[in-house]
Amino acid sequence: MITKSDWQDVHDELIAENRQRLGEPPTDDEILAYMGGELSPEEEARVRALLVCYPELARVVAAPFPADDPKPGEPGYLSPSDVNRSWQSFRKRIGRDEPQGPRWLQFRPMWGAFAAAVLAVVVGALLWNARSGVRQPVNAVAWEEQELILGGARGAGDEFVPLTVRGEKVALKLPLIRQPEFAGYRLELLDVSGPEPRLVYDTTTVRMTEDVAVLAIVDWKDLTPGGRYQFVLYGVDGGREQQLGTYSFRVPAS
Amino acid sequence: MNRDARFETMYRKYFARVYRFFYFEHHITDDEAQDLAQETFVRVYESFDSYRGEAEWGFLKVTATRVLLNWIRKAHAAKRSGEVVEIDDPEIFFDLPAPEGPDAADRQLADLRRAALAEAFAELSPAQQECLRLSILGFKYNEIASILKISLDAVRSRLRDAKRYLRTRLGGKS
Repeated sequence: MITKSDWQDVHDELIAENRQRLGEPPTDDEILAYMGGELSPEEEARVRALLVCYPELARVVAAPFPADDPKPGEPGYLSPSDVNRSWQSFRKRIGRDEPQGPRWLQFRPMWGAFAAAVLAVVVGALLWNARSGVRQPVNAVAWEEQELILGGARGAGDEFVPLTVRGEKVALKLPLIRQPEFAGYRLELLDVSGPEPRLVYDTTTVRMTEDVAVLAIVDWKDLTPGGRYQFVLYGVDGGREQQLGTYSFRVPAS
Repeated sequence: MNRDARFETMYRKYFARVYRFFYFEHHITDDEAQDLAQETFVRVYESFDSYRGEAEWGFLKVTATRVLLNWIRKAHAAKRSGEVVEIDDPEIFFDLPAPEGPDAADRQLADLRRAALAEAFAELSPAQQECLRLSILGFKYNEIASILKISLDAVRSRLRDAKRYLRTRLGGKS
């Protein structure tokens, strides 16, 4: 009987013989040109023969680049916050973790002294103003609250509930079905209007209400009229995270 | 949009896909895949000035492929030998008639089998040999088609003809 071992021995001999005859493995440029169809027929035949002798390199040609991003739940999915963390570590890696902004805005000792002097003048002016008893207008903050629907497998669905509240800030209540048992929580707000979700904010400062819901405060200026958004709530315990629910809503167009 | 802002936009848009390329398509561990994906972006960042913003995905693909090839060459530098993965293809494992002569030793029997197999294999066309060798290595039909740049039907017919010839030539039963 022809066995696997027979095939392996014959194949090993062929590989050794072919490598000796054909020479070094193809270079990166040759492989890329082969993949791009940029080689002459003779060169293409040579690279093809080499790829059969170097299967680890052939695998690069065999496995195509993914045409799109993995969806949540698929292998290799990264959430916007994962990408955000990666971006932060990338900045450290390339040594770009210094303060942002134009060079003239970056901190210098003399700027510190200047800022202290300006601060002293402003505080003095405020004190003078307060003593003179002049009342300043206070910006009114509209504060309305709306309860969203728990979506996903355990909830009512993933429909986008229209926002009925409006104000500079709105409070959105995100109910949970079971009493949560996590040391902490993390909440993401994603803008899902486009083909790819965009992270609006990501916070671990999550306030749980007495009736087992999370209260999320959203600045109206972070929302786009007509936009679709989704909260994703995670329970955090040590290094483990578990998605607890999603809450979808849309902003009225006008 | 300035250079850094353009780069950040590209990073956020494509990082997940580049990571998936390493992690999912090439079965590299999570940490290493993250590292290789970042390494890809480091290289892109370094040559970002010559980058004109067109076909950004194509630019990233080429860079990621170079990073992957570099990683593979390092990983395989110490073990360059034919790797035969476990396959279970009854069509290529079959009984050969016993050699003539009384009581041949097992080793001699094996040598004879391999010699017969190598001889028959060498009689296949180069195109059939390439297909069969990649199949023995565990590549799927569509992967063989990508590597050899031939159609899926061509892969099927070459493999079918090669196996049929080997069975006839070696006088085995599948």
